[in-house]
Amino acid sequence: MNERQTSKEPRSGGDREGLLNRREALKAGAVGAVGAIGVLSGYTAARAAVDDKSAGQVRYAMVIDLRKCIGCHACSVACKSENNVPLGVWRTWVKQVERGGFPSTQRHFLPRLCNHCQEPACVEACPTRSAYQRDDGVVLVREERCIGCKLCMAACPYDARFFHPEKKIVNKCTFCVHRVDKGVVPSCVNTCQGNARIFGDLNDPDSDVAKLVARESVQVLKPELGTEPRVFYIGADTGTMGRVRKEI
Amino acid sequence: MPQVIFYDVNHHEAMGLLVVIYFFMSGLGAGAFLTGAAFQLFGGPNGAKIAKRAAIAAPILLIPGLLCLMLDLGQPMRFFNLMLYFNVQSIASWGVWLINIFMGLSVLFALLHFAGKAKAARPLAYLGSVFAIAVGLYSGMLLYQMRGYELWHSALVPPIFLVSAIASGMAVVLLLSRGSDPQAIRTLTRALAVVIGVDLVLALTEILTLVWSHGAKGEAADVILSGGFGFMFIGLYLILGLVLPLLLLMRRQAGRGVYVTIAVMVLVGTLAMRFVIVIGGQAVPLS
Ligand code: SF4
Ligand code: SF4
Ligand code: SF4
Repeated sequence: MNERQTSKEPRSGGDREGLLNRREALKAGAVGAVGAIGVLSGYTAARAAVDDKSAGQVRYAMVIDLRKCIGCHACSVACKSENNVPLGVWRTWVKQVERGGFPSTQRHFLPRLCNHCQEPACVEACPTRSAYQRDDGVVLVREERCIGCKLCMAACPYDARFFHPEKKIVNKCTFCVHRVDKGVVPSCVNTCQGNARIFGDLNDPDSDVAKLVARESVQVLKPELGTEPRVFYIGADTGTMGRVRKEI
Repeated sequence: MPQVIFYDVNHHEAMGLLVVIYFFMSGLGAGAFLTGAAFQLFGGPNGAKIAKRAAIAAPILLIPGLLCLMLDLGQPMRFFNLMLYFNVQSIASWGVWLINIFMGLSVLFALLHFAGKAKAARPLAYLGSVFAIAVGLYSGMLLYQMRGYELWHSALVPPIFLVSAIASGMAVVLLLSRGSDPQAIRTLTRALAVVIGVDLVLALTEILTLVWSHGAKGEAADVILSGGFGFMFIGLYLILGLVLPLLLLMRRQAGRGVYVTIAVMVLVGTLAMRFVIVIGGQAVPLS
């Protein structure tokens, strides 16, 4: 009873002022909330636009079948000469790990390259949108726009990017788009001794990569980071995929 | 079973010394601005002298930092691309505008104070403070966005960067406070003690969460707690930069010499911390 009365007709001017202040505070809060929602929905829309990678069209991917890899490094060499990659930096390489002691030893191979991630961390971080993703999923650098800030290098959790010592911009594996766009497979795939590297359109159910991904149990590097790599491994040694400790 | 990497490629660091200096200097600028603005708004006539010196120091500290950032680019002449293109998802893209606006505001603020028109600078003090806080936070956010590096990808990194920016900015103002009102200096040192205390709590929390982590986070803890990085982080940042200044600030009476010592310690500590987080953060290999 008392409560209703006070809320209907404030007893003193001071109270009314308090009421007004509260109302104003509420209003300000509401305006703030609406503003925040506006900003957030703008962000979500922008993200959705970025995320909308039209389904039903070509999506290039690679499968690396480690049951067939012999660790010959021919892929690394082919890439170097195909793409004029300078000394000291690599677009693709073959990580090798040795385990055990004589006579029970193992050696594991893990060919590495840019994963042409579906959710590329590098593209997210680039302040000039020089790092970008084509509709077919290939992640590239706009060389004429890149300022060489190296933030994409820092953002990539796979060490796939490097600073090009001559061009003074960031450089990386391009999935050999200059070849792929003309209907030829990437140089590393072309040269692979054991046919361990397989390249193709993941969205085409009849392609070799799509069939392998559908049939075999495939692995990707650091799936927990949400980058959704599109380089798949078959039969990779988990110890070699992670950061290697001295003992396991 | 023993295990060795027989062959692997680890590419060079993405962020080097120039980025460390940029983070340090922009933090000094933001911290000095905040100190100046606080003294102008709440310091009364006693704080006017300190406010003026802090206001003038802010852009002088900020601009060399921005030059370092430009020199770090592979293509410094293309820096304007940062303004021509915008990426909503990139913290750096937002940061460029934050720091541009903050630089403009701090130059204006300094000029008004220099011209003796401190009264007219009051609205700028409010507005600039918002941007100064944003600039202090954003460098940590920038690191946070890089999910591959455990030392960077922690929610505590942005607040640690902000708080240490404020502490180091205050330290610069303390260095410049010679001959100002003793009451104002006492206020400044008290506030500095509080900020250092907060910094200490944040730093200890970060260390403890790292120590109790596993995998790559655990390795990151090894990096900052042992070897050269450990010396810098524990010795220079935690002890020399936080604990000792805090103890010195607790003394009731202190002379000019003590204040200068405190300020230098805080500055060395902040620089060491930035170095360890940025460079040491990249010391745990990605594969
Ligand atoms: S592997 Fe690295 S460089 Fe390649 S798309 Fe993914 S995040 Fe970008
Ligand atoms: S180095 Fe180039 S591609 Fe990488 S983030 Fe900077 S501008 Fe973008
Ligand atoms: S060329 Fe083929 S077999 Fe040789 S290391 Fe590369 S992926 Fe393995």
